[in-house]
Amino acid sequence: MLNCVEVSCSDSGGGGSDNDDGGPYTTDNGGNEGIEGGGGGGPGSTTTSPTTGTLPSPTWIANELNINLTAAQIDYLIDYPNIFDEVRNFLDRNRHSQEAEDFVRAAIDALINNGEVDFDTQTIIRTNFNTDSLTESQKRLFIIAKNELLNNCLGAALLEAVDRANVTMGATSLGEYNPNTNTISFRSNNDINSTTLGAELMHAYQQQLYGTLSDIFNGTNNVGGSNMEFEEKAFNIKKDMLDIDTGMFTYPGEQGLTNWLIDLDINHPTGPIILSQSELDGWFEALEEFQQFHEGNPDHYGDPINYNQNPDAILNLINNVLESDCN
Amino acid sequence: MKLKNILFTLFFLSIIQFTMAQVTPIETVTDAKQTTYSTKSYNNYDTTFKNQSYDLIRKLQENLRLVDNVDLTFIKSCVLNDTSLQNTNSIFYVEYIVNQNGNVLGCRLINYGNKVSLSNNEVECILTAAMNNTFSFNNIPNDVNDFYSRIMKRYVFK
Repeated sequence: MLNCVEVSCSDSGGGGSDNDDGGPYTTDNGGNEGIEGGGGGGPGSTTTSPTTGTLPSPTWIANELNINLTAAQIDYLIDYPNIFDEVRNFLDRNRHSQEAEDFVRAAIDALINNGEVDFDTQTIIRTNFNTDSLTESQKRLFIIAKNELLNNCLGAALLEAVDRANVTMGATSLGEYNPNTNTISFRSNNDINSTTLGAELMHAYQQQLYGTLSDIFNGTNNVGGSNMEFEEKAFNIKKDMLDIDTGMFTYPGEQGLTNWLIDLDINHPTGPIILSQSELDGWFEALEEFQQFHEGNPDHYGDPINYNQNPDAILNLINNVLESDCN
Repeated sequence: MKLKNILFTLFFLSIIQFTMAQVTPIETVTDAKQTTYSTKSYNNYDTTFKNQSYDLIRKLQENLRLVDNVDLTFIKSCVLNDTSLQNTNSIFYVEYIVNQNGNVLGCRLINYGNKVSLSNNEVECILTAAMNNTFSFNNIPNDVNDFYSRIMKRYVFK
């Protein structure tokens, strides 16, 4: 299970206080020298600064860690002492191996770009969601939804696969994805949750992988629209299946898909999965059930099936989970 | 007085027996992939669930959120003395049909892979316990009063 170290985690309402607006190093008026975790937002271990009453210098940071870093990386560590502590502990634990140093450099770069890092599992998730148009409370909801996804192996794999998207409000249904602008939008604050986010991120990943969503969603060629919606349902069902203690709804039109995913789970305990012809046939049979259930309705659920479009997106994600030690 | 007590006890026991017997007879369907044990009422309620209007189903699908505090460890309790199940990593699914209050109306146990076989007593114990589960929901659409939903839960027997 991933436990993200995220720059913006601290303002998610999840227990940390705001500390992403500036350097959380605290300088004690009484002359205590120190780098301290920012106000509950970070691990909060303490180290000693070589200078009294001032922020630690770049030279001190570089010497303390004994690793080559860029000026931007050092500036980041000065601003975020909790990350500095994580980095130092990580390097100590790994005896400053070359691999550990490389990981640290990549991790700081990812954090600078709003990505997430788990030093325990050495996982870097580079995400760059532009949430500028959201209000502060909407941003908080978005971060909570994203963190919920991160805590699910399939959700984490999806966040790792989709590295960039704009996030806005203004959808007419609970969530929408616009492939032309790579924008995920939500209808209301209530709709900013991990299920909706996962569904729209799945469409973003499909666009990244297949590049066909513009045509389908713009109505120039809607063949395959049901494939996209069906595969998005597969993501959320499989995600729920991985949350072993949590029940999930099963809806008409998706029984075959649920059974297909359960069969896949049982027949492929390890990866990578390469679908057999009968498994592929099973996918399209389940897709037909889904498409027929929704046929004639104004959204894309009932669009004609593209029988040449295999479920590569969901399979990639499942394989990423199977090949990782995420559980 | 004593006779009265005995009669009352017998009456009380017969009520309990009647209540417990609601899950029997159990309908069992076996195919190459799985064995499914359903309470007698399951299929009827499942049909009712599926026959809800398309609009209602979509509305539920988009809005309804499950609050699930159900713990399936009762499955282990029901097969506690069955040594054939030890270390089999058998995967069981329990599927429930519930009403808008989260009360279970019917349920079924699915033994995927047919790795193990369960006795009638074990199945009855599991389904009886499952019938007593309750769920709750968040975000029920304002204009929806009565509805059925279907919930699936997984249990891996280790």
